Amino acid sequence: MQSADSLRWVATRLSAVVAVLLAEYAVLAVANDGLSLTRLPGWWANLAYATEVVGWVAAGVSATLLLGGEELRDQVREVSGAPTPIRLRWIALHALSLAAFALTSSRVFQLPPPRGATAVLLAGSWLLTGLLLLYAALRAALSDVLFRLARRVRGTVLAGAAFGALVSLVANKTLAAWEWLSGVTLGLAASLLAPFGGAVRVSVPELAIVMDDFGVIVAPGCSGIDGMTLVGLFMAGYLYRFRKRCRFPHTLLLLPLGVAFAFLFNGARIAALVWVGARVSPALGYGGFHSKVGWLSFCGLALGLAYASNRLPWFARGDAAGAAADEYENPTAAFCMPMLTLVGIGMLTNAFAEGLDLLYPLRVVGAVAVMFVYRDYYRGLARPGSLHAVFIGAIVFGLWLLFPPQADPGANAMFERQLGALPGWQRWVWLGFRLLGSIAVVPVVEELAFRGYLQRRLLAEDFPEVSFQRFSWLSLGVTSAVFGALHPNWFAGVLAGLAFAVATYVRGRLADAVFAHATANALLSMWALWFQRWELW
Amino acid sequence: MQSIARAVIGAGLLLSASMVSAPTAEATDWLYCIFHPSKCICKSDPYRCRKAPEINAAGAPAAALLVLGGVAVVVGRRRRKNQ
Repeated sequence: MQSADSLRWVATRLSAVVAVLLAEYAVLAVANDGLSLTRLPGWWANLAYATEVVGWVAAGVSATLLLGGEELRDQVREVSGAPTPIRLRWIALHALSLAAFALTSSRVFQLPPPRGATAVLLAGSWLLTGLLLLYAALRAALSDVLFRLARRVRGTVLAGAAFGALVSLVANKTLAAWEWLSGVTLGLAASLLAPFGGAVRVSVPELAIVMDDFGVIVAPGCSGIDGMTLVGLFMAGYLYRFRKRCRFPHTLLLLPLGVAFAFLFNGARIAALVWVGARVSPALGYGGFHSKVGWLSFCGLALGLAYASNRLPWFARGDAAGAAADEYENPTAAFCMPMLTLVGIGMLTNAFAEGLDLLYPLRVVGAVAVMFVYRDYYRGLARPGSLHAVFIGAIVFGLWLLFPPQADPGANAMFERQLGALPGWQRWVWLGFRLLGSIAVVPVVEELAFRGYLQRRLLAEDFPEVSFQRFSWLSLGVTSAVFGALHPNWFAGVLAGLAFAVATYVRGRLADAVFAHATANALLSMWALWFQRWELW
Repeated sequence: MQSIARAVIGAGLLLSASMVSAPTAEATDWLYCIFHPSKCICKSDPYRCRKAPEINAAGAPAAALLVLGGVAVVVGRRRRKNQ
């Protein structure tokens, strides 16, 4: 057995275990309301913070890998040998312990909580069944490889666990110190607001900032820690995954730079929130503006860092960064950029919208403009649609009515009121763009990205050469799941994704998925307009 | 130089890994709210409204798509075959 192969099977099985555990965790998270426990008095509330374990484990594993280095890798090669068979009895034990864990979880997260000895017994069984399901999953996938390895490198594992726990503890302890950072954030936001005039007051003890009559409290969670962690995680993952493209040590500078920019962007976000609340609309300020701008700034920063590490000659390795643009082609951009433009403009205009997004036409114009730039890539794809595509579209329409997104009467009433308040021509122009977007632009843009790119990219790196009829469960499942996650009712979204994939498989044409998608959206638009069911739109 | 690079990336990863608990808790709550929207609106749960996961997490899928898609585009450039 080649040593590289022995490393590979261990890594593959371990990844599979992590994926299975994450999926099980997601199902349990959906079934149980962890937050309900946090407001309880007494030790029972601590059970809601079980997710802390994720941080400890992640830090412990990272520290062990760091300390172990090459030696750890050699030991894995020696210990693992040939792939071990997957043991059914361990899978059965895992399933049984999972069922027991699910059962105890449903009681642990139920209010009112148990008391006395029952509480201790329940908490104990909950923790034990949780540990047992983890142990059984590892034994099923890797037999005793990990345990033999742990015995061999006991010192490294212990040091890694201790170091990881220490870092985790320090990180948790410093969470309280983020209040101090909130003060710095307030100061930064106040200095950014100063040039705009008006009375800006900061109260550090209350962590409040006020401009004119509009004020907000900067909670520790809004001090920038989320953004800094996200950018740190993103950059560490990115630099590891694309390390061969990076020029070390120059590229490493991007890690602290990214974290520093995340902090500065957060200050700017708080300043923008206060300015919008004070000068534009208090309702917009108290609504989701800060959150949407936060996501936007994270996206902009992450992509800017990725671009810098990949294209700027000082950060990127080789001649790729400095080469002339016409030496390269980018089919990924041709298939994904229209979708990214649509989503990006949507996030931007939505941040400033209360209810009706008046700037919706910008999304349509932006996406069409990008498709025009990449039009050469689409020449072979433009084909007439078929009857089966229309039929599939009608089925998706039915599914959407069967599993509709939850209607919010308040939001629907606000939408109608705002649409009705528009002057006649503006109302018709807006509705015209909304129909054009929904029926013609969105189906093309989404099908290019999902069935055109993702579904084929999961089959081969050189995705433009992959036939639209080539099938794999993985590409079908992942593409449909991602497609579903972006829709208000994820279940209907996944089913629609599956249906559009089937439309592509039948004749091997992307155009059929576009026609099916356009049919479904056209029927939904008519239904929404006729019955004022705006949540369907 | 490679070992310095590994150490710095490792330190970043380690520090970030130790801080994933809060986003994990947020994501867990977000998952719950997707499937139980009626229990997560302000009227039925003022405590959750104060925390507002429905607002905080609403942009997450779009942001994830934008970042992952953007990275795919940035690294997706390739040399023309005829050159």
